[in-house]
Amino acid sequence: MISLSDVVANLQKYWAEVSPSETPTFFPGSPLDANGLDTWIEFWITQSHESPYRNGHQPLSVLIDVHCFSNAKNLRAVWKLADDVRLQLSQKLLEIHSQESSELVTGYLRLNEAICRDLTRDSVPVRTHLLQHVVVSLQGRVDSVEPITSESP
Amino acid sequence: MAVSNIVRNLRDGELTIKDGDSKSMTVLLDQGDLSWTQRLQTIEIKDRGSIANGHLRKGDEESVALSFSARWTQLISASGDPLQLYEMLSFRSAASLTSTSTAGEQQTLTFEFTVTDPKGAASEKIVFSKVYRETLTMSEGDEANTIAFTGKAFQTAPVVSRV
Repeated sequence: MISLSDVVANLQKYWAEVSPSETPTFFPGSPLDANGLDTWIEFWITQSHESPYRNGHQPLSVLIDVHCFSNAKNLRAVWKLADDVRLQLSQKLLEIHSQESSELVTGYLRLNEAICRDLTRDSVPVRTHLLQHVVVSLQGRVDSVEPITSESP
Repeated sequence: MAVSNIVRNLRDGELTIKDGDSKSMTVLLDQGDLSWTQRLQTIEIKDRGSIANGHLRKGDEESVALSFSARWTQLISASGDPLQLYEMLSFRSAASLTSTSTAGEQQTLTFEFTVTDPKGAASEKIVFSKVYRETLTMSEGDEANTIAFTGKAFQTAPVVSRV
């Protein structure tokens, strides 16, 4: 069985390596103080879903929501962030390593194409403009590396 | 023998394909859509168009039609790799399979479909003998490419037994 804990750990590790260095990322559970930040990202693995499966092979579907926030004066900065997210995640194939043994590959996560949604709300402006909020969502599927067919000689 | 009232579904099935020698493959990426149809041919003899005065006769025996599909990984194996579904179903020469029918006849395989009782009381095995291929359709898809098999088992009904 693919470990959800391994999937989350590997995804967060990958994102920490490829995310834009000038923009901090907050994962669920980590404290967020957005005061003074022009842009920031919240990286959520919003949903996992087990499809019906037969013996042995258990595929796992995941939904990743990457929330991009911008207070910058440049109103297109949030879309630049969304593009960075798309570039690093869309159609990517990631190895899932066991947390117990980093050399052990337990599965592969294949991400599909991204969907972007503008969730900017009409709220009290921060500074002179609204806080902009774009969510980049990606569906992915995790397949274990267990043998996909078994054969007796 | 015991029975259980737990309804079986695709999670309980397992399809194993065997050749006429000792090679076999358990298909783990099948979609859980295996289907078979047992046909019964009947000849209606009517008396001047009347059913009331007519009668029925047995028609020709019909072979069992069956189909299933599976998600596609690689089609063929390289040296040392496990046998792949495509090459087994298509009797690819490199797979060195042996037909379950006599040499010179159409190439056939044995399909064994095991349905496990979740309660463990009444698992069953359904064996299709002399299965030959009618169509093998490979399709692209968003979620997965698929290999779809349709064929017939040269018997009037599969052999069902408790395991």
